[in-house]
Amino acid sequence: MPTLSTAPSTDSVHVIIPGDLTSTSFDQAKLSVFQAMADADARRDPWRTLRIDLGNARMVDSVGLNLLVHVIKHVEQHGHHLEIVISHPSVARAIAFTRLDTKLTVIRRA
Amino acid sequence: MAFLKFWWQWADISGMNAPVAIPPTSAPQADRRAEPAAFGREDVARVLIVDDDSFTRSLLHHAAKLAGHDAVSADSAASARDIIETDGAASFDCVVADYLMPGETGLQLLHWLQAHDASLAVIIVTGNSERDVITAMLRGGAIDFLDKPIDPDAFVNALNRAISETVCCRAGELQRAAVRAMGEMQHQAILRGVAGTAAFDVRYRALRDVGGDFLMRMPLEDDGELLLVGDVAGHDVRSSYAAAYFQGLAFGALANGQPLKDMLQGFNRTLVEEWNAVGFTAAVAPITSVSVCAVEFDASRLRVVVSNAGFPNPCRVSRDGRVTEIETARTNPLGWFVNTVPRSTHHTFEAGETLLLWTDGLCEVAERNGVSPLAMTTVLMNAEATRSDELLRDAPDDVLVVSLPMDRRDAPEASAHWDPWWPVLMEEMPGADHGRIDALQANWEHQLRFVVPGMSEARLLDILLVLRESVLNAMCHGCNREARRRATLTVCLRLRSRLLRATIEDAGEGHDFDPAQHHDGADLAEFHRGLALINNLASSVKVARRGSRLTIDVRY
Repeated sequence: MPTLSTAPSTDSVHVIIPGDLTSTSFDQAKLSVFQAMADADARRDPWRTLRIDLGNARMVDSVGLNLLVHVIKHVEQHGHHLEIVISHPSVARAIAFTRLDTKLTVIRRA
Repeated sequence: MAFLKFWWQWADISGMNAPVAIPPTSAPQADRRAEPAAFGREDVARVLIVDDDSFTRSLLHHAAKLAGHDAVSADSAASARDIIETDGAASFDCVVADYLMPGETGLQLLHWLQAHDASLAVIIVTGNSERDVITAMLRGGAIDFLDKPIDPDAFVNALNRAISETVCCRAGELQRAAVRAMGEMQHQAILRGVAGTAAFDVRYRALRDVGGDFLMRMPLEDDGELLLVGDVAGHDVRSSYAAAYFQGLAFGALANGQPLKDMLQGFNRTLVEEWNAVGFTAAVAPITSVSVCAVEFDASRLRVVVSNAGFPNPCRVSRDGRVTEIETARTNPLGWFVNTVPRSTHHTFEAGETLLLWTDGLCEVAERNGVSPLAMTTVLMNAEATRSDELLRDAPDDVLVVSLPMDRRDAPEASAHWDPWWPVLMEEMPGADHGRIDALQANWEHQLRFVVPGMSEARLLDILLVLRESVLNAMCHGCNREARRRATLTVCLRLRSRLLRATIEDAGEGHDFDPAQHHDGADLAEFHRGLALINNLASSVKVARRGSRLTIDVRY
């Protein structure tokens, strides 16, 4: 099971997923993402954007995509926005053909 | 200059008053022996003495003669080479060479001899007993070395040992050549078994020069045929003998009308009651057992009868790219228990299906490479010879793999465009194992990389994602995450058209929605997203049994 780390910022909340976002890393990823947002809120950071860094992920499966959907709904509900950082083409394809790229900002990293 | 310790004393005892100087042999002798030396031969051993010092040369020459050997002398390494090239290395049984000679040293002559005939024993005589010189001589292949001054008894003892070594070595070589010839016959017999059938493909490699795996084919009545594939325990001359014995017995019995079952039972009885009988096995060593799979075909090759005694169950690859194990009434191997009665099972094939059989040696090679026997079969049958050789180089057992396309009437193999399905995976997974999906996925990745080493990383990940989604769906929904319910995954490849077909089945009730509708994830619905992934990554997705069987094609 991968470990997750967060990189807080004042105007955005950063969460780094160290590996694939799949059914097996789902629980820990979800906990980490929501904990990061809760921590930022507790600090009263004026954050507008949640950035999930998937740059190390080779694969995002349907459970991982569902987490992103869940997070999109959550941040939209609170007037925020989701960005994801991706580097692997397979992840980019999965995000594109499920059209999640219309609901979040994709930052491509070489 | 060499010195012989106690020489005079020894010479007196031997009836000699003084050694006679022996000139170096200037011309090759006429009466050369073409055959290598062997124990018990009538002629004497022949020794070549090489020393630049005429005194030492004559002493050693006489010493060899006195010991009952024929001796030839040379005064330099170059002269020794001339003699050996003319007479042939096989005409000598030992070379005794001084280490320090003008021109080339004895060590240089030793190296030349090793390249020329490694079986010819060489003794180096040296006045320099430094460790590095001795080490170099022994590493270079010298059988022995003698320090100067030479003790005459030690010389004769060393000479006799060296001659014996040469004789043993050459006898061993003759035996090895005979075994290699036997192995070649065995190989040819296996190839003959498939001669005349273009699509009948075989890969065979014996662990040693001979092996215990065999294949034989013979016609049956009504234009049918019988394929006997077997594996005698072990992989040596004994196994090879048992394999040949079994084939001869099988051919004779079946050609004379004995039913296959009776033949197998009879041979089992012979093994148990005679070959492996207590008291007999003590002398013959390990008991002899034979695993054998007999496949009887009718004329169309669509009806098949399989009898299996301790052999891995064959597999069938369907024309739609699914692979299944053929369930047989497998018994113990022949030779273990007297009451072993091989029973046959009947199977119906469809045109275009392929039957695969392999001996357990393939399973061991597959295991060493961390892949399934199916993946190993596909690679051995299709890879370049260099890769096959590499994979089989360290095989711990004989390996025999047979691929037989069914229905010779249609002869799909005759088509230049024939692109059969080759299996990679056949797995059965309990629904409760959904938490192991990462491990399962890692295994699929390994198998696919093994079979298609050049597959692009991106395509491989797409395929893995498709497999993961479909298998998780089968385990979690089709099998309801229950341990007693199982999902199955088979993966086959069409290597020419670079098409992968995965078939995923579960024991569930299926569903009532149309998977083809789930292409889009923009509605943010948190369900059926796996189907959207599969539909978008695959070339085609076919649903059967209300979704409890998915057939997914992906080009790679």
